[in-house]
Amino acid sequence: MIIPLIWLKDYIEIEKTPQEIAKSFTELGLMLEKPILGEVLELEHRMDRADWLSILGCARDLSGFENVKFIRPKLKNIEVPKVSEKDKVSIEVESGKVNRFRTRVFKNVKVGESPDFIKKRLELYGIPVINNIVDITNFVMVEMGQPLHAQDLNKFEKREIILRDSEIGEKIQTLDGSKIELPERTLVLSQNNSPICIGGIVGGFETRVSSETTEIVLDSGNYNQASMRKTSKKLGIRNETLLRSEKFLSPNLVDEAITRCTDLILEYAGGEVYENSNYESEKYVAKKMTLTKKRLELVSGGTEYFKNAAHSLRKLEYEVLSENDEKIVVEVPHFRTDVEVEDDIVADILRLYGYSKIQAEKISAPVPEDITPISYSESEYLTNLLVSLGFHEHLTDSIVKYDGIENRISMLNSINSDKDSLRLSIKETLSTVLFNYQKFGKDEVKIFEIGKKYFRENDELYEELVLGVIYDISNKDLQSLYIRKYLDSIMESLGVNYSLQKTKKHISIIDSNFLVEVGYFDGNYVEVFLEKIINNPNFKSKKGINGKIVTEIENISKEDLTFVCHEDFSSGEVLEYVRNLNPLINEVRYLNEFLEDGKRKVTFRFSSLHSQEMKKIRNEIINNSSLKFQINFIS
Amino acid sequence: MEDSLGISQKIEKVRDLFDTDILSLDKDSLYLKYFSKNNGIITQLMKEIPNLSLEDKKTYGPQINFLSQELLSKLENINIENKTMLDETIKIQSGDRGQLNPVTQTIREMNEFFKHYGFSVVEGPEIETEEYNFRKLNLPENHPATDLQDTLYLTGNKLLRTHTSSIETRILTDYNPPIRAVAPGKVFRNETPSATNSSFFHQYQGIVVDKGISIKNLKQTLIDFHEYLFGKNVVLRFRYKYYPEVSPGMGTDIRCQFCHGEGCRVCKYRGYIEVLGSGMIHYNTLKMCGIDPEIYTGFAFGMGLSRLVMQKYQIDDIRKLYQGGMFYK
Repeated sequence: MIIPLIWLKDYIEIEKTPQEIAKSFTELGLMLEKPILGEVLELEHRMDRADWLSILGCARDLSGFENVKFIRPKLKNIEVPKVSEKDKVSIEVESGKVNRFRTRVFKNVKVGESPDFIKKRLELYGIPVINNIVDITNFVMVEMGQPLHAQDLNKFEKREIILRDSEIGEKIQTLDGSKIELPERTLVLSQNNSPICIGGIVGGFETRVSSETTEIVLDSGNYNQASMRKTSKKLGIRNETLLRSEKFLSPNLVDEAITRCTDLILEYAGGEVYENSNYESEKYVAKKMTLTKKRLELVSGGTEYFKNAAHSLRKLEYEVLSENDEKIVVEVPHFRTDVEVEDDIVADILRLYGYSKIQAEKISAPVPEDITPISYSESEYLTNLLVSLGFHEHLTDSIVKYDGIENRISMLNSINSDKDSLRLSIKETLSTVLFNYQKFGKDEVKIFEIGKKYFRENDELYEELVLGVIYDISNKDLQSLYIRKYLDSIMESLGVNYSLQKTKKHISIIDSNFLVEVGYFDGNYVEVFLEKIINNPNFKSKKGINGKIVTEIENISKEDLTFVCHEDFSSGEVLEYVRNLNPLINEVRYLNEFLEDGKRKVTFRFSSLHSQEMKKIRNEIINNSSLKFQINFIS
Repeated sequence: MEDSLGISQKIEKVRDLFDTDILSLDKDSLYLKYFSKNNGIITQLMKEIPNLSLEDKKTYGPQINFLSQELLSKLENINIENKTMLDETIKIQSGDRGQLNPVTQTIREMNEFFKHYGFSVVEGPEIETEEYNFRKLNLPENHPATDLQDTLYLTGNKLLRTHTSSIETRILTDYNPPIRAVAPGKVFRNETPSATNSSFFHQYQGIVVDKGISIKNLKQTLIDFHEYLFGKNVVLRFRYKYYPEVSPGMGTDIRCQFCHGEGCRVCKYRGYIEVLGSGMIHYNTLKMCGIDPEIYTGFAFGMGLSRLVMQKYQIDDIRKLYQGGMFYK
């Protein structure tokens, strides 16, 4: 909201500097948005307060905050006679988007220049000066927040205004001269079956007020704000009128605004005025509310506010109907369409008291139960593990381009055709990061992301937390070897015993205990279905102490053994077998392997805390495994 | 060396010891220490061979001999190797440590603070319903925030959450008070990507619901949090600000650290930088989530993380932060 200070001071007695006024506005809810230019403030406006789209509304709150006098413009409230049948403009409301529509007819007006005080204020605000009639409607709109609209009655073919929804293909030339085709069901004011104005948004060129105008019809309307916003978006029109009619304006403003406008037209353009019509879709009922001391003290946390509460509310033009030590009953002013619940009245009292003065106080209640889900702490743990293994964490966009894959979720609306669907795998988006590393000349890339993948199944939409890991080096043998090594670490930390199964697409990671797929790998990429693993009722977090606690330094003996086997032999089974062979074996680790004349030589290391038994253990391993797997050990 | 050690451990220990000594001792000292006729460690080890059992002699004899050869050969090459090992001008770059994304790093720092004050860290779905993303937050059907332009819809009712406030309504609906929780998470908007806008970014939400929670508690929590994040000298500004899901609402700004409130380009000449939106959870929100607002009150706050992270790590384009344009050296 733009506030020329000279205009503000028409309604409030304040001697502060622009900077001080801006500071007060900021604290009470109208933050200074741009640097102060001379005597004009530009304040941020939020959706709720339709009354803050008027100088008067802003002045009212400032007067409450500063506790200074608020001066409303004096309305003459002249008696306006009913229009004669001959001069009457027939009004028909056919659209459901109209809440209020009031019209007055002016005869013998003299179109000319506006008085200086109006011109100066409009110029400072930033609205171009046109002629006295148009300027007055704009002046009252900015002053009171209610759009008004004057049309030249001599340009009407029929003395009628029909408020209806537009039909396909209807066109209009707007005030600025541009010709537009109206989207279907746009609220229009029409005469002789032709649209002359887009209701609540912009007037038409055809019936505009010009220097020859002598007879006008002035309207002030209140329309369905949602429809105003939708239409203006479709048309791409943003202007001062729309800015207001798309908010929750008070229907009662219509009367105040048309009265004020009448006073000014009669004073500066002369002529006579007649009441023409006053449409109301439903009767306005004033909102009565009660503020209790108890609620105010609960939400504010203080006992210091209630004593001045009634005074503050009066400053904001609430009507105090009754008050005692426990409660205040008020009638909410009609322009405060934002006031919904008792706490909104509490907010008003705190605003005028000043947020900067509210005391701060620590929460004294005891700490509630920890509800952090296991998935969060497991993800954090896994992130630490991967970082310690040398992987960089990345967070990538879940949104990708649609490629026709059946179970991919796509969006109904997207402004960008390259980004209109959700990823089916983290690989799709993490690969972009890989590409960047490679472009940078990195020959070994280790990256990961823990995030969601999304898919559609039988018309249901799903999201699932997964871990995606890319390990990429040019030596593909080493790549798969290391990927296996990292997979081991990940699965071990999740407490999952797994086996691998080749499928057409990739290699599946199967939970050996529950025989379900818990991930897959394919080339340089591993995906682990974290959510699936964690949601298994038998899942046990391995985050705690994970193995035997050693309190004394013991002697560990290690020995390496190598066996020869066929190229496609499942050597993992041997290692698993050895692990469980003798309880004295502490650890069995795969070391390396070589391929020689079609034979694989696989070396592993076993260790034991019982050095005296090493020889016995070695013999047991060699003898039993040779027999079981038909393999030969070499020295 | 102690007698209790097995011979194979002795061999390993000697090898390890030599690898350490080679970094600090010169060639002659090393020779004396390991191979002197009377006290050399290897010489001593060799002397033990005759005392071993026949079986062990077969196993360990060759291993000790091998060790002796290995160390002698290392001694031979010592002139060449020593030079590189001791060249202090060479810095060895470690490529072994991974890095957290700066957003995660920041989230963890914040979690650290809130965990200390008894907050849980919670999550919620990214594919949301209008009910949790809008309605329960007191956002009526035609509120501008629900506009098609801003929200990415997947079906008539399903959408990608536009803020972490949807996690708030999930938690308020699923748990009974007292509740104290923070919720970091990805949120999505239908925005044209630019240096400052991305179709997704991260927000951080906090909620407290209990008996007797007031705006004073909110203010203190935010003061403590900002002092933790920006240091004790941070200057805060509190003001009324409207958000549909809270009443009374509260905006929080920090005084610009570049101009100290005078107004500059960084703070868009406001003197302050807006960091967070907050307020007392709306009466209707509590009610719609099944909590009796006459018994319980609460506050909520929410902040965007991207801007904070970008400032902290001097990343000038949000696309670099998220779309793979950033990597770690």
